[in-house]
Amino acid sequence: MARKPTRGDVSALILAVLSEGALHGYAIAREVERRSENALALREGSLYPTLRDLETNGYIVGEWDDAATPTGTPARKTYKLTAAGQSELAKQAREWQIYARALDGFLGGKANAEKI
Amino acid sequence: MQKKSEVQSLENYLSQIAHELRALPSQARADEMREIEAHLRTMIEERGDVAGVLAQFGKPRKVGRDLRKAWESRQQESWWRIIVAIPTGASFYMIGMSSWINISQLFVNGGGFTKSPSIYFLAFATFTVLLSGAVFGSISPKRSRIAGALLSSTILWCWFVVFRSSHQLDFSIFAYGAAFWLYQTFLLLTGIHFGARRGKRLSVRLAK
Repeated sequence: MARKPTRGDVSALILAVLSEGALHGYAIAREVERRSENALALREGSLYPTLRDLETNGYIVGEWDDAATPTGTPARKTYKLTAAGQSELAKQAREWQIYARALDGFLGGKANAEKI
Repeated sequence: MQKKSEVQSLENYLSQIAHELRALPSQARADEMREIEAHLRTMIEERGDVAGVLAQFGKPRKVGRDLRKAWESRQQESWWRIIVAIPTGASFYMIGMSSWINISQLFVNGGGFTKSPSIYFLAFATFTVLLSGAVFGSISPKRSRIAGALLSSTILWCWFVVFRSSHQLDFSIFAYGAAFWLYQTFLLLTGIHFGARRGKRLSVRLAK
């Protein structure tokens, strides 16, 4: 069953996706689904407020691409990671690894996988 | 091709988000709606299921509220507000502090005041410190709380330095100083708390 990421996780996911190149909001959401193999169900309504928070903190910067898409959909805003965003991503990745290792002690590991 | 009812539910959904964003300046609101509409229309084109797409996107009022709050936080910390608010807040604080220093000069070693401070003067001193906290809080509540605590501690240190020249530092002076510091910090933080709440609404009105 797909898991809804928490608000803090959403910002980490966005930063991680943007670390590989600039994308607009819709593409960010699709990339999260693809890379998690649909294990993470991003509520798209939480995507834009998180993007605004990340812009406020200077971790990402958005630019409007005023040309409409070939299918006629309105113009989109593309986001890219800033240097501050790179540092924040590295910090969040470190914190996540510590957290995941701690949880592994209770839920993960070979012994528990065999039980499941 | 979308059915009429599906078009209406999308328009209804977008209008609910727009309603939550009505306090934003028109350009900011238009930009937010443009982005969300582009996303929704692309999802609908891809999946064809309008209801499913709207459910995945989330409750429209919540989406709108979260966007509004994110926008308000951004506006609160804009540089021009910091440049205007810091001298204003600092001025109120200095007026309040000078009043409190006048009151403190009445305090004597061993405890007690040579003359009871006027209740109106006490109220004025309290009000100006509260107001300075509110002004700081309206711009940046998180930074203001840290700055407020540091400011209050710095003032306490200055107060002790001034006091040493006219008083012996006995227990009663330390007790008065501790009470003075606690009260000033409480006033500043209370002012910051209420200023932060007011500041969000004010920042939106000023930006229009």
